[in-house]
Amino acid sequence: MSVEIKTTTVETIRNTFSHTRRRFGDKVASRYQEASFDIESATNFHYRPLWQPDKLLNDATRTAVVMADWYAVSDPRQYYYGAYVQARAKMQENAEHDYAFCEKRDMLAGLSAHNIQLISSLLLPLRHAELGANMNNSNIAADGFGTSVTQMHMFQAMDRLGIAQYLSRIGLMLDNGDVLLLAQAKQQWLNAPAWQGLRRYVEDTLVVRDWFELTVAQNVVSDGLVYPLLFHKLDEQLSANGAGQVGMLTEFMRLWFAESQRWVDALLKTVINESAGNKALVESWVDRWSQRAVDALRPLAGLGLEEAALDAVCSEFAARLKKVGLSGVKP
Amino acid sequence: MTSLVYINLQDTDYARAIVEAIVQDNPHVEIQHQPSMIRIEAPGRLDIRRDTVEQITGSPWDIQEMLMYVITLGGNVEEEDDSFSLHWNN
Repeated sequence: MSVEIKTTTVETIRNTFSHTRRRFGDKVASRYQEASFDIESATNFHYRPLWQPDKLLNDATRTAVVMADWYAVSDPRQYYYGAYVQARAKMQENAEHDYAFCEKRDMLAGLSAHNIQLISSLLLPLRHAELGANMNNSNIAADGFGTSVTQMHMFQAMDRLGIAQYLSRIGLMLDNGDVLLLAQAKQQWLNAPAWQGLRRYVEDTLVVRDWFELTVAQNVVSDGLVYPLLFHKLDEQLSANGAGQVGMLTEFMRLWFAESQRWVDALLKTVINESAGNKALVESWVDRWSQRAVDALRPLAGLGLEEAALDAVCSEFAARLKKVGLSGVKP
Repeated sequence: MTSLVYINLQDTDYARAIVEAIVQDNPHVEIQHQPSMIRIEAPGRLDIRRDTVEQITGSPWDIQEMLMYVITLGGNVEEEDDSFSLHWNN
């Protein structure tokens, strides 16, 4: 008896979902495209929300910015849930390794009192601002329109929770597992005059109703100034003071910031290139919030950062905005 | 006559990005879609560039990760950090 092996080819009937085909053409689509575009329900709602009867449940008019199609915004990192989780798992594995190494070698034990002071007065209270950033981004994910836009903000929200946790762990490690330093950091956040500007900024953004204004205030302006100042300039200063090992514990934040800037810039570019009206709106928001942010950060920079640090951060931020196409603002 | 170099990749989401990059960088290739497999043939030479794949996927890529999707290949391999090339030395 002879066995004849043959292969049968089965042609797929469809390359992808109909809504994906209508947007990208009839070809095999990437997971990112399938998971991100034309997903959110936009029509045929039975009821209007009781809490906002003048709008639909998912409504593109919860911001003054007008886009013909919000799905024109796409993520340069192409993160959908799967890709995002994989990328973060990888980053977290590295960060955990660094934290474990620092703990094992007791690397924070030899820090000078001055360096401990710098970290506990400038980094630890920031975890409360990170929680604010988490809530703001969750808010945007709720109010925004278009899955490609809202998912980026939801990922951002989760990232901020993670960063707040890493900051807390730095506090625990500095305190040999005790929570005294973290309790002090909370008191600074609540009462120290130098922190009140930033706390005010965070609390005021919590009640901004226009979600695009909120993403400008939080992800463009606040992050764009706070991260370079507290994770780059402060890190440089700590390294110069002989506390370079602290950089191992904040590397996650620097990597994350470099990565998140990519989608923030892409979002801004897409929106301001849509119309002159959008550009004017975004510029007015960037103007207003960056003035407030700089005022809020000046007393913080006075807590021990070098004098030129904040000005350097501001001019880097201005250069970044110019590159995006927002030439009319000067932070 | 130039011989063909070839590489077969599993038909996965990531491999499709690699194939797209190969088509961009090597206009002379022939792509055959087979059941759960993509066969790429080219006369003489085939280059896979890290840059092009990274532009398509939007994320950093270690070119050796490609080996996870490779079923078979034919040709002399020249492996660099930025590129992976197949060619015949004749």
